Amino acid sequence: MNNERERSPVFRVEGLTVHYETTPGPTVAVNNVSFDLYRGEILGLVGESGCGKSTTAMAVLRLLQAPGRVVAGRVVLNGTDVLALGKSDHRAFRWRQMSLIPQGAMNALNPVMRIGSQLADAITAHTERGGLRRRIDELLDMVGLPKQVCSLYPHELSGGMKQRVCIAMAVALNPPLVIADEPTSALDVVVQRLVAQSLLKIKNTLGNSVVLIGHDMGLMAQLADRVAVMYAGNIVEIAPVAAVFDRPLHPYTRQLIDSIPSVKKRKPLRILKGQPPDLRQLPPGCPFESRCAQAAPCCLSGRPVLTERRPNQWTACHFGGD
Amino acid sequence: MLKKDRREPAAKEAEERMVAPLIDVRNATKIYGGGLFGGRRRVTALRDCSFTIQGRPATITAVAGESGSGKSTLAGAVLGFVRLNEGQVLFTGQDVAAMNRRQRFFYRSQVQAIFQDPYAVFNPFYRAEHLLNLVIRRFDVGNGKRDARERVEEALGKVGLRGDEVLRKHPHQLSGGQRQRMMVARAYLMAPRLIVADEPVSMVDASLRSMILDIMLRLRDEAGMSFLYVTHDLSTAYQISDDIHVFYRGALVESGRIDDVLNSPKHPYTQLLIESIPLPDPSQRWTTDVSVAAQEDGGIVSDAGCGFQPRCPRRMDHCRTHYPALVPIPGTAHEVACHLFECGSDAS
Repeated sequence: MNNERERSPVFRVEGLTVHYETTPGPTVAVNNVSFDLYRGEILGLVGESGCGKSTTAMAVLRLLQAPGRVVAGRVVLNGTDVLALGKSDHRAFRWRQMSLIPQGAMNALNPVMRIGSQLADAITAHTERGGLRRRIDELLDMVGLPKQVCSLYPHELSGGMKQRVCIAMAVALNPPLVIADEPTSALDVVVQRLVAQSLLKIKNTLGNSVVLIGHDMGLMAQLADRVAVMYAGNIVEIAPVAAVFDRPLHPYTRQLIDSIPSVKKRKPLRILKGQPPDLRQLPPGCPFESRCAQAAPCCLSGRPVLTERRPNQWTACHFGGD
Repeated sequence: MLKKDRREPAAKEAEERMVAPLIDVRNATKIYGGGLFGGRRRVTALRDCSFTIQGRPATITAVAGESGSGKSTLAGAVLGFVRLNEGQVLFTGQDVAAMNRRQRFFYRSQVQAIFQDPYAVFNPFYRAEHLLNLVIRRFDVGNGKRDARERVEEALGKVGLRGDEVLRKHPHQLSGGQRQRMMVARAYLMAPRLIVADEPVSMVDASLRSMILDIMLRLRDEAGMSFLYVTHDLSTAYQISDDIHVFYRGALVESGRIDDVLNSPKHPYTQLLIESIPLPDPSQRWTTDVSVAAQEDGGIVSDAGCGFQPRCPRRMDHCRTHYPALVPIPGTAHEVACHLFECGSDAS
């Protein structure tokens, strides 16, 4: 891991801010989010519903729909400023450099096209035709699906198989960055393990970097190298996975880890009281203040900035781990 | 006319039924497809399953398994939505399929449901209160308008909501958590003996999950309501359940007290399920690859023999041809359907 730190990051998000323009005023869905991603690394992006993790992904992929709008920030992949690319340049760029494994594969696949055609489509839309058949077979093999799947329609596959087809499509052109948005939600536990292991195998074989979005902390522990925790549009903690689980710094991360159900021993249910703040009227201080057990007067007035409190472990908290 | 239907059946009948279990599933079998018009494969959704749910004291019984295990079909059978091909579901000793209209109406008020998708149950044109008003009108809850309103506030209070926060809003104006809690409030309003909860927390995130599971526990402890908790998530099952039944492709493969089954799983499938849970500990990552069901990969699984044997790491020849019966581990209430445990031998 230290070697990778010395190299420069493959992917860098700087000060990304996304607003949804609503009638009373803008809703700040993503607030000054910054993070780096190194080659071959899986960065987990976790948080409750509405924390801004999917919006961040959509913004990075330039898939935001009105009234969503990037109002500030840069997204740089291998030196290219992604948000600044012209439309046709970006079209060539997309899928070859940056792809998406969407949430709920059921919706992503075209129900009236056979799997083989959809895979071919993903490949040829962005590149030339040669060696197509061979490439499709290779991809299916990588995700552990039999070749017969090519002639089937999506409804003939199980959820886990469909999701693996989506993984194959996402890596078809071997992009350096893959964004996986909740790739295993709606799958049951054994299939989830299968899909997660496919993703890991592919990453190890092809060496791409992955942003893994989700709220299942168990899955993050199994797959991620580093984890970024989001709350109310902000990143509140970012650190290597072991540090996040053993020595979390931010009170919200601590509560998140505490509430993970265990099948080894019965823990009392810990309920996180309260609600995330209204994103149209973010408080001037820390967004977590109203639900924080350690809140102090300084938390009301000054918004904490993401600071490196321990080597490689960053948190946005005035008390940073004490 | 409807109001009279809510009367309890004759006192004598009721008394007799008090000793019977709340729910008694006997040899339940459900088969889809494979009819005269052929072409489609026959799918055995439920295969000869039997178990009981006690009503007093109230219990939370987990029914766990992957998709295709039959757990939702079972939930449907207990709710009276699914007609079994063989076997019965008895409610306090009475066969649900043989009930007359009056008895079925009473049954509906005693066995309620909460489902996975908190949006699907609402009619988007009406305000949220419509959901509760429908129940009040149909089942004549309370004595008059004021009492009904109090009962609504009480039900909402149990789930941590206030009438003025949610009743006058439309479903799209409520959060997923609020909608899910309203579903629980609706079930509570009926004062049912049993609530069938089919994956109530799989579509919500961590904080909501704890909240809803907590509500289920409180309803069991404070209101004496039993639950049939259908889920694929063993961790949440462990947090709130008393007993567990593990299903695989329609067959009940393991049963017992939750601590016994999860701490000392006997059936190879239960062991696989537990091993597949991603541990929230980066130092304990999955070490082996999980194998996939032959059927999923286009292979055929025959109906004879054990359904799990194509994937079972400990299968024997006998398993391919003989269907294992559910037998207790000697001296315990822990049951398992596996040839490794036949004739009382403990092959673990």
